Amino acid sequence: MTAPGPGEPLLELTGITKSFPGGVTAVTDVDLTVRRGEIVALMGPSGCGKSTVLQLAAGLDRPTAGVVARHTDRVGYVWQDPTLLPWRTARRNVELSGELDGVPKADRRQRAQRALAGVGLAEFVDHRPAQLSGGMRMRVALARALVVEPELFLFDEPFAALDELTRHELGDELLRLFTGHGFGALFVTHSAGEAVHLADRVLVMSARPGRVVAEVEVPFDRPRPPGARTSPEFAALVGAVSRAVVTAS
Amino acid sequence: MKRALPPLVVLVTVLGAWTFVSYGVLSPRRRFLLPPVDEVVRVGFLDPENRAELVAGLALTTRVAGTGLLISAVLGIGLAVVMAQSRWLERAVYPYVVVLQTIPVLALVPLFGFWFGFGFPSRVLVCVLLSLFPLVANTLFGIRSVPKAQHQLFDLHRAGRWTRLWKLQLPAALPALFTGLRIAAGGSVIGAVVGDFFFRQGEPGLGVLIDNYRAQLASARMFAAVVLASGLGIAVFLVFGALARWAVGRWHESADG
Repeated sequence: MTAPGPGEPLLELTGITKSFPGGVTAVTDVDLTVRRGEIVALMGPSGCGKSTVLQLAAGLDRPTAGVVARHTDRVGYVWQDPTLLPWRTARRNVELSGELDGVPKADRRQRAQRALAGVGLAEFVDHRPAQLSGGMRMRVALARALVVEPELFLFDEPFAALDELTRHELGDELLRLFTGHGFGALFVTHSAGEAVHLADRVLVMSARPGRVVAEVEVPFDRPRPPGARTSPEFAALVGAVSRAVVTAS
Repeated sequence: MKRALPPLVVLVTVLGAWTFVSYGVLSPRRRFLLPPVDEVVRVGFLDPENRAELVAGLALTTRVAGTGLLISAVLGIGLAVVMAQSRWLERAVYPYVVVLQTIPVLALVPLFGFWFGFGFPSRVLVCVLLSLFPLVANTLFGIRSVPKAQHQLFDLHRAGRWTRLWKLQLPAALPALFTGLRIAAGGSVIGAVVGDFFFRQGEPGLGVLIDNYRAQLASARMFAAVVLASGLGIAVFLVFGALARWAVGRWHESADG
């Protein structure tokens, strides 16, 4: 199997509907595509099924109707909770990915070390999650997803529980990793500012049952120029996205 | 040392009150109701023959309680693991585990004597009945406490049942499991002493000794036996408490494959 080239679709959802037992329909008729080398943000009111879309995209759940086409097996997933195993050190948490995929011990150890160094935690490899700050824990979760060298990266409001400064820091970190690795990403967020800062396109979903009702292109260059976050153009676009979300609710 | 002082003050006060009641309140004829501390020590622990009998009783009771706890641990953790594999199995088995906890188990004890004789196996069975429930319930609770997102992480890597059990569910359940073990250990000691009251025949454990001394009005030796039984309970509590702290506090590494 040849890997899809740059700009090729990595993930295609077509006509996705998901209903749960008991009659709740979380999402209906969702179409979306994520291509290599782009970050797509997914926004919408609470309970509109954004997380459901991610879980379907990852293959953690099956759609009631529609087709999920994933053109890669290398999927990284980051949850709002870092989901680290508290009895393992940072390095052993990152190693878990390789352990579960059957990577030989020496190899996975080396990769874990490198991934942690890559997110600025070289000196904290032997710390347990309880000894790390919230931001550092999220970095470990990023490193754990990165060791599988993901082509498709799925983010479920990963920075929502962090303070604003840490959030900006991790957003920049993510953009740096994105530039280095060239994956495609689907990023669920509640923050219009975060969506515009990170993404190439922002998709807006309606209230439940959720469907994609608006798409906003983000025309800014990558890497984002310094101070982009405070420019009038940026603020105008954030305003437009916020309005689209409000309209969709 | 600073932390040991307050309970030490209480201990000395209690021993003082005990001595006062024995010598000051009770007439010599009625002193057997509460033999003075020094007599308990002299007759119970310093007399070589009495001491040998008590130590043998303590050894037997410890062995009974330990064997019962071991069986309960294997059986209880095993049951919890099995029940964690499917909701159906849990629904099928769990009610009976609860029944075990709600019926007065001691009422069944004479029945065991009837079926299995009055020796070691029956005594161990009483301990198992008293210690099984906390192990099953706590282990199952621990396994079920794994957050959904951590399960999804394992789903994402298509982890199998055993991998999930070994690398996720059991380590996550360890703190609860050790809590269960501590409660179960206490139950097992109680079972070993109380079971004795029903099994007068055979080798005497601490419970048999307490009852025999009571019948003989050998109250100094009876108190010595009670002190030993209490000491065993306290020792077990402390040992398993330390074990639990070690398991939770250090979050020791899960077994590496």
